[in-house]
Amino acid sequence: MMGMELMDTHKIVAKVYFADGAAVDFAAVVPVLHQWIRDGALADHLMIDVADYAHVQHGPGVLLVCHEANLHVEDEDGRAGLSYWRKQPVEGADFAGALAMAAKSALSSAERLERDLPGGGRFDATRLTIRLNDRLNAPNTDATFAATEAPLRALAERLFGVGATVARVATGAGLFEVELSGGESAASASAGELARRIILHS
Amino acid sequence: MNNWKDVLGDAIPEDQGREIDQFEAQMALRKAGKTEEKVFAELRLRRGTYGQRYDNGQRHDGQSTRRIGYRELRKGPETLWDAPGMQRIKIPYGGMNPAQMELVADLAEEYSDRICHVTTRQDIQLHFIHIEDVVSIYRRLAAVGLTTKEACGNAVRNVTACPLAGVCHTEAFDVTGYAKACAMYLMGHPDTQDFGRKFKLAFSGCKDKACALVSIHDFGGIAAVREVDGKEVRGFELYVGGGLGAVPHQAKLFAEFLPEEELLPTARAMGRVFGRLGEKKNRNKARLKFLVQKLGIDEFRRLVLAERAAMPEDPSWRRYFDEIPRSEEKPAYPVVQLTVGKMAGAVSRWTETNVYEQRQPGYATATVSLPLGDISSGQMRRLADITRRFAGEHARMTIEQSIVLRWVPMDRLEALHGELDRIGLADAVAGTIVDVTACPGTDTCKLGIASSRGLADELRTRLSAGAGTRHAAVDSLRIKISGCFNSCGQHHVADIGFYGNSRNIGGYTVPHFQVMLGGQWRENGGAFALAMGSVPSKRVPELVDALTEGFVAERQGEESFQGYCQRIGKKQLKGVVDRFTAVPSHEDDPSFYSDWGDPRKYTLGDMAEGEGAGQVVSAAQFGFSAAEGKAFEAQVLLDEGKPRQADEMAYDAMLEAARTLVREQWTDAPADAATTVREFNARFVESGLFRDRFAGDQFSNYLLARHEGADARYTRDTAHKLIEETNLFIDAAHKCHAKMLAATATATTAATATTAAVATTGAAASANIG
Repeated sequence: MMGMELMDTHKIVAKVYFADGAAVDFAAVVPVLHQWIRDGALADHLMIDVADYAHVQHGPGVLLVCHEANLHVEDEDGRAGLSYWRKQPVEGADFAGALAMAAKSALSSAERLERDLPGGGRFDATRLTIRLNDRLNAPNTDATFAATEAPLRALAERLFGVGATVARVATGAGLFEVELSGGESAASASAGELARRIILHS
Repeated sequence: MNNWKDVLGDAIPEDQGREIDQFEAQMALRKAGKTEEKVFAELRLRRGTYGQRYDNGQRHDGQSTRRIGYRELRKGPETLWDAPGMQRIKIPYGGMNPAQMELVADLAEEYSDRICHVTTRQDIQLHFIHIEDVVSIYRRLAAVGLTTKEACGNAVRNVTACPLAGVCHTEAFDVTGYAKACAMYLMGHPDTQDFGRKFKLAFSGCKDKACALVSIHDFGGIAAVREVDGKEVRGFELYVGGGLGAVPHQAKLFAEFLPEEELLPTARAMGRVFGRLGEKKNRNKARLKFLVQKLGIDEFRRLVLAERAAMPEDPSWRRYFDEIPRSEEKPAYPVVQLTVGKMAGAVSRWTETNVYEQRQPGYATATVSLPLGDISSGQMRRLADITRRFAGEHARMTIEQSIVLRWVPMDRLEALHGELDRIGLADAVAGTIVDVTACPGTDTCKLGIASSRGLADELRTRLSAGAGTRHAAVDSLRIKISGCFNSCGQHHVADIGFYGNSRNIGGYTVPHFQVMLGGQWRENGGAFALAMGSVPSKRVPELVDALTEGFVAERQGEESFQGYCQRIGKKQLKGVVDRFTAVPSHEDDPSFYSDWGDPRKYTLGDMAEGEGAGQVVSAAQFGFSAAEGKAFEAQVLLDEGKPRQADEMAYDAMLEAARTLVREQWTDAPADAATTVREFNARFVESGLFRDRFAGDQFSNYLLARHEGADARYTRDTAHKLIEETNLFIDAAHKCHAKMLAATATATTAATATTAAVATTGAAASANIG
């Protein structure tokens, strides 16, 4: 893969998991996301509607549909969490910029959900999963890993400090996926603190 | 920059690639403002790319209607470019192979919301798609042999067929190849490009089963075999002019036996007649059913046969016809044991409900029930793998929003159940009351009035609790729900059907469902249900319990639900429904004022609620109730075999509803029909107040046409049609009244604001003077 194609890969997914493998009460999430639309909770996002797929086992859960991205509360991979699926390019951003935007949006939404969801729910801020939802420009190959490793590592170190790791997750025919974790400052942070470690350059 | 066109190259058939390129060029022209919105809208519809709810840039968030800040570029009239839309993928006869399933899973993941939705016409729909992504979607589908071409628009839609075709015990022969030949031959054919509305085809192998619901299609063939000169000859009992929609029509018999080689030419000839004589201006009268009704079946048949005789030869129909034998499937795996022992527990229940033992010894077809027709990308990908390992290449979508795996060796059923269970797709509910069918409704459809999916989910959850312990007669009932009167959920052919509407209660709009009872699923949708009145959405589950409990308690012998409904009569059934019509006040129970699965306060689109008009509401409600009562009486008269009296009563019901509206503006308006219609026309039709945003003047035309004169044939069909129209007219009157209340409330608010401003200004002036 050439650097030019990587520039076109804006369809980045960032997922942060609930702590302790907690199950999610999807019915409680629905009114929260409707309230987010009323409140304009996601900066830089045009929020459109809420879709509920809680009836599908390990499916996309409940999602906030935005023009720029979809924000899911789901347990699709068997673990409940919040995932941010970027759909539109981030204006003026390269791959690293788009990556930062996806990670920050996921983490700051997680922080808000911790606050707004009745009964709370804490997120595990020791790890962050990144996927590339783009089989054309970023297939699940070694070449994609080689082309993305540096910006992924930079993000991991910003979030989790020196010693952070970027581990590729084998997903067969699925999407390209890595897990960012470890590092000297991984254990103590909250989702909100991680979000604030990411600085977006406009 | 990478693109799928270069990556897929020759995998995209040349002709399809060219058409997709052309569409891509049209997109560029629209963005440059060089193609009209209306023209581009039809172009994208013909590629299955639909609009979706809120694509006009407005959404009610539960408190107020707000603009969604899309840029102004449009992809159709009132349809903004960046608003998410729906992509329909045509699946002829529902047949898919694992590679196609995997690709659809990828598309749902990359461009949609990771849900593949199976429709009641064997299509797959992806929602929340951006228009800029559709060209990639088209190309990737073309590369695996799928298309979206003419999946929407005024064209030949997906050709459906019985999902058991080829493996069924009672079919005359396998209709798969014929459905496929029709789909391929008619798609893009010059003689199918000038329709005023869509054209739907379906094929069944048997007459007495439901199969593909031939009776509700524009063109429906039931397989038949005749002996001619000592040889067995294949053909079709051909029906035409059926359809659901707002006013359902049973298809009429066109030919008792159409020889197989005449199938394609006859379909083409019919397309030419429909294109030439079908309505083009008024889309509400443009389906083939209206042309057949207008001409009469005999004249329509004569015209089609004359067209067939005069039509130039088309060598391509022979080519498609010769392909038919190739559609016959072969099993991928041999049978080791012809019979299997009794299975235990969950597998046993699943084999009872979800497994059909094929005609071919040792093989079975297993139904994978999808809740609300939804399957996630992950599930679809794993199901493709399961299909490959248990059924080879043979999966089909069904019109009940499920997927069937065919040619599964019986001795592998238990293992198959285990695999499906691991991905959450082993629910033992196929063909049962739990397996509720629902169209998208207010979730995503622009026309949705009430939440069909929300209600279906609620019923499915509640009914699942009784699975396995419920009376067998109840277990086999079918519930089908549509979000509006357009019948995409096929409520007319359900034992218990519902379609969404609304009522204004105390100044609030409350989601309701019209109750439809006694439809017939068997015999290809052989009889339609009749409306029994509307109940609030939140009381539908209680009503379902009452109806099923009553059925179990009063059932005689092996009586069907349809037979039960006919025996006890509509008056008794109406009595049951009426127990659930009451709506508590907003103060007592606000939950009635939001819909299932949606916590927002319920509204009709962008319509504001009318408040503070209690007395006026009460008077109007009284009038509408009287109209509904007369519409019901018309149904009873029809059941008693009195179509003429039924017709007159239905007409009187429409007059009652129209008079109610007129008296909102002219309290002392005389009650005679001439005055009512004249005033209704002047005040509500010509003013546009009664006009429906989507249906235009369709509903007011029902009254105006009947007022001009009755259909003098006074048959069961003509009276049934008028009763359906009457129910729709009354619903439209309710909506019109809600609009009037909203306008009054807005005017009152504006007047109050003006008064307040004047008062403030006056006070300031006084202060200055002082």
